[in-house]
Amino acid sequence: MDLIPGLPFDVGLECLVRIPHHYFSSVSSVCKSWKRQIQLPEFWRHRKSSGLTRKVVVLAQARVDPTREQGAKKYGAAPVYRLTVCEPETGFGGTAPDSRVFRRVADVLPGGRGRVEISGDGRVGPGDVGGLEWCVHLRLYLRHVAARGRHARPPPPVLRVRVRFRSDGVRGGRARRREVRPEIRDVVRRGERRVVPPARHVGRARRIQRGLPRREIPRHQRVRDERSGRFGTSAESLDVATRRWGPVQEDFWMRPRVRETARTMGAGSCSWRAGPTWRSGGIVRVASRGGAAVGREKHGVRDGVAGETAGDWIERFGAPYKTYLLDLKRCKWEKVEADEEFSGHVQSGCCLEL
Amino acid sequence: MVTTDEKGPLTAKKKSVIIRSCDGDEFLVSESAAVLSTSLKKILEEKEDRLIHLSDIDNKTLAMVIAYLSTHADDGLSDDLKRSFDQEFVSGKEFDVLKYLVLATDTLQVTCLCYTVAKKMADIMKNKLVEWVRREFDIQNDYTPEAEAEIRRLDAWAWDDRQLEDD
Repeated sequence: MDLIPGLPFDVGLECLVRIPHHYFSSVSSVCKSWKRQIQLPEFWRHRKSSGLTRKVVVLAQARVDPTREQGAKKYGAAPVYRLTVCEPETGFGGTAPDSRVFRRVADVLPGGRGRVEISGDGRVGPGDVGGLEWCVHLRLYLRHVAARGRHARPPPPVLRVRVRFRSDGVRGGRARRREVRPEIRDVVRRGERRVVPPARHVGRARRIQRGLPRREIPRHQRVRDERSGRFGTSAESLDVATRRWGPVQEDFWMRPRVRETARTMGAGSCSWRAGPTWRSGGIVRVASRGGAAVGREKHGVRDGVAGETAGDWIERFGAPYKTYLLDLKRCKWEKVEADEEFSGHVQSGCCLEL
Repeated sequence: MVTTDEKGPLTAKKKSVIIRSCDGDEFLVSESAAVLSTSLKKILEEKEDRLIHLSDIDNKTLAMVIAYLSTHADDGLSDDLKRSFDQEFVSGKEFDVLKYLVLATDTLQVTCLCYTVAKKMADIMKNKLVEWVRREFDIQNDYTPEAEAEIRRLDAWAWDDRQLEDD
């Protein structure tokens, strides 16, 4: 059947393919055949091969409650996330209304715990890299990834990023491996927390530090230690495109007083224009080129706690985060004023080509 | 009637081709312009005859296509000029005109013009109301009202700051 009456199918397809992705909701409302067409993987492959796709960053970000009370409320409330969409090249974006996020998160996170992962329409997880697999559909959903237990889903394929840290002279410098999804690269966000962590997280920090599973650390050893889990300032980076390690950068984490959590996002081989392009106050920075390093710095347990991922770790739920930009060229952090509503932590994110 | 193309009188060196539209009018085109169309190129390779009859393209459309081909065959013009010509070429044209144009490019296999016109058509429909698109493109709405409401409710959230027009 013709897509546009009077025109051959191919020509109609050429027209549809050239519509910017954010109009697809109205386009797919026109008729069933248009909707069907837009949902086909071939359609997106065609868009990509014609060079018509744009990179879109999608984040699931904790909602900051303006009426929050101060204090540790980590276990008090189930996290609620909002979905934010941004097109780095144009700065165009939008935020899902809360009602939708509530509904979706409630659907997929029955207990309200665990990690939220963004994926595109169930076809491609953010762990898939390269090739046409990156073509995904516009509709996004939040997926519950079980935090532990034998029913946990196998994680998506990952590359490893080495982060070098040292334990403040107690042990020698030692390379550690940290998993990060390879396509999560170019956009860097960092949070800072000031609350003294509960003791149980110290054990977790140590476990990470030693590379031991949690159960292998005796409970009595999971105590606060001013030297434990101290991260150094050097880092290495992995260029996902070439799969090569960059040189060790000694003072990569420049600010010694602040615990840093970096989470990088982006697509495998993208290089975006530099500059803060987030429309609503700059929660992400688009790095210019090259591999991003992922790591965290720890300055005594009183200042912070290492978590396995930057995202699944909520110390004071609902509190705003300070936002920093990482300039990958100069290896410098820079503080950014973000709107409070966009200062929740980023739980998950991915870069889609739409 | 023999019409020369926009480049003016042809020099004796350049070969030219005569293209006849379905209305019977004939257009004189340089061979370098004609070979930009894949199907014309094929015809020219196959036969010696310099007269090509196109039975399904009318005068007006053929004149436009030939103007496009001549401009793009002109080596003296820079790519930027050609690009701005492309924009000028499709701007302000009605949907019906574009439709005939894109049909002609499909017949003649002029890929770049087909893409230009398709882009223009996408631009026309992209920020219009669904009803407008259905009306102008003569598309049957095969959704039930409930299904349509559901689709629009689900998809409209992410890009809420656009302005849809209905004109």
